[in-house]
Amino acid sequence: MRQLSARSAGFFLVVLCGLMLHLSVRAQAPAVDMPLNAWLLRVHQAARQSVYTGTYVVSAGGSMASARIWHVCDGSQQLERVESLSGAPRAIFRRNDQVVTFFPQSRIAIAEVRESLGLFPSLLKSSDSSIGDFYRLKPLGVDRIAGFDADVFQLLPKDQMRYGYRVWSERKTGLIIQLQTVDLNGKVLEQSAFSELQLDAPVNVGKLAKSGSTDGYRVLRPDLQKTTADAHGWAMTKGVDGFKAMGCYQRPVASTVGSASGGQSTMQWVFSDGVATVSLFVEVYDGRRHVREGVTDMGGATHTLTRRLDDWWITAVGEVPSDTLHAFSVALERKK
Amino acid sequence: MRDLKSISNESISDLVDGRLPEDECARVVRELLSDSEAQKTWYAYHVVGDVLRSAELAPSMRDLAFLERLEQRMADEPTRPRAVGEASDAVGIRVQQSANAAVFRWKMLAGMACTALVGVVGLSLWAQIGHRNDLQMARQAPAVPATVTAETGAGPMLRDARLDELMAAHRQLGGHSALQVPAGFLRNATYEGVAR
Repeated sequence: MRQLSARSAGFFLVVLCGLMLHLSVRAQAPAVDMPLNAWLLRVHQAARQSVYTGTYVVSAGGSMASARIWHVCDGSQQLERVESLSGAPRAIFRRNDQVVTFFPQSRIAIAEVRESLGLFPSLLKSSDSSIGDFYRLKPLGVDRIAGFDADVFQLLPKDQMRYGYRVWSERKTGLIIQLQTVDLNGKVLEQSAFSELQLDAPVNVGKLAKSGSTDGYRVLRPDLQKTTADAHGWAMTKGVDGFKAMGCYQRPVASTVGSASGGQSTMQWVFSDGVATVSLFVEVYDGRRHVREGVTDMGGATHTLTRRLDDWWITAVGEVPSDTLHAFSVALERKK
Repeated sequence: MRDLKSISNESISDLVDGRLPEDECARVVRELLSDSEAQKTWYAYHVVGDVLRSAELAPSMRDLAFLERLEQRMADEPTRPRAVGEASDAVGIRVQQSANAAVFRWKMLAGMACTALVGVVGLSLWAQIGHRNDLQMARQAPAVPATVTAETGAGPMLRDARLDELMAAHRQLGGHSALQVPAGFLRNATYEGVAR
């Protein structure tokens, strides 16, 4: 009898230990987060170094757009051509951070420098990056997109001030082949994906480089000047969690073709949390044009918020929830 | 058909077709009300006319039986409602009925339409009340302005060209995102044509 009871106790102990071990594994499994910066660096490098052609489809707010992409990496240079397959005919040629948009119908080309394109590799390597404070990375498993095996990850926001993302990264190279922006309730706001992709495609680098020639086009260069918000008399009374000022520019925003708004100079103050970006535009208030204050859903993840502040008209634009734009607009303060 | 009635079949037919002059019409109606055989003929002519117009409009004989039962019940009522003819001598009065009034499924359809209408009006009123409440709430707490959707099925509507210009400017300079080069630039390059 005693033997039996000792044996039973031993059996129960084993079962209890097994159960505790099982529960402990279950409890730990969802908490496994990937090192975020290392992962971002990998997908970033993959996009720079891969050679590919493909068809890219963006769907946002009930509308879709598609484009044909050619991308090569020639030594330290990245060359890329994006030809629209929907909407007005246009082609965008990029050589590193130099971007030219061609409008073949009007024979106009807009040439600009996008400094932000060269910003991230160094930022991701530095200890200054705080992306991990506001997002966490969670692996979701594997999937197959455009004929390629992909690892699926979720970039989860840690607060309500930003959206989340689901990322499909090609298994061998790390190239992002599908990206979804997801709102706080898990609803997909917009999606970008390769519907067709050819990795290591035989792209003729010389021909691609030649396609960036502006011969026969009237070239417009937006008058973009670097400035500071302080120089314009503006400051933020309170920062918006996770967002850092990335740059301030003075520019005639009506640089778009055929614009009727004239060339009035506008201050654009850009903020980013490393993933989402917000622009604060400040213009002189004009009662004839600036009539409606409030939030506008521009389709997909993009919102705009307009607000009058004394003699000024503030427009906040970003791929963030409208509450975040509101926080920006009320934190902006006129110093003089 | 053997003519045992006080009025001829021709007169009843003319009455059904609305071809009798006014004074003649009054006389035929008076005689019709007092002659049950003539009433049956009058009813039969209506059925014939309905069948000729549409088989759907032809009621069954059950309607006649129902009418008889109704008349009996009305006769048994202690306070019998006055017939229209009793007050005004029925001169020149022609009760116009919808051609499909006797078909039950049309009545059902009409009933459903009425219910749907009440539903739509009710929802609209409810929405208005809700909107009014929203406005009141907005007045009380102007924290976050209401969202205005600038979306159509065909893409973002160019409601405010200036907003689209600012959005394009944001995308040109606003790509300070770790996902920018991999996907954001391609996304904007593909999609920004909507705004440019």
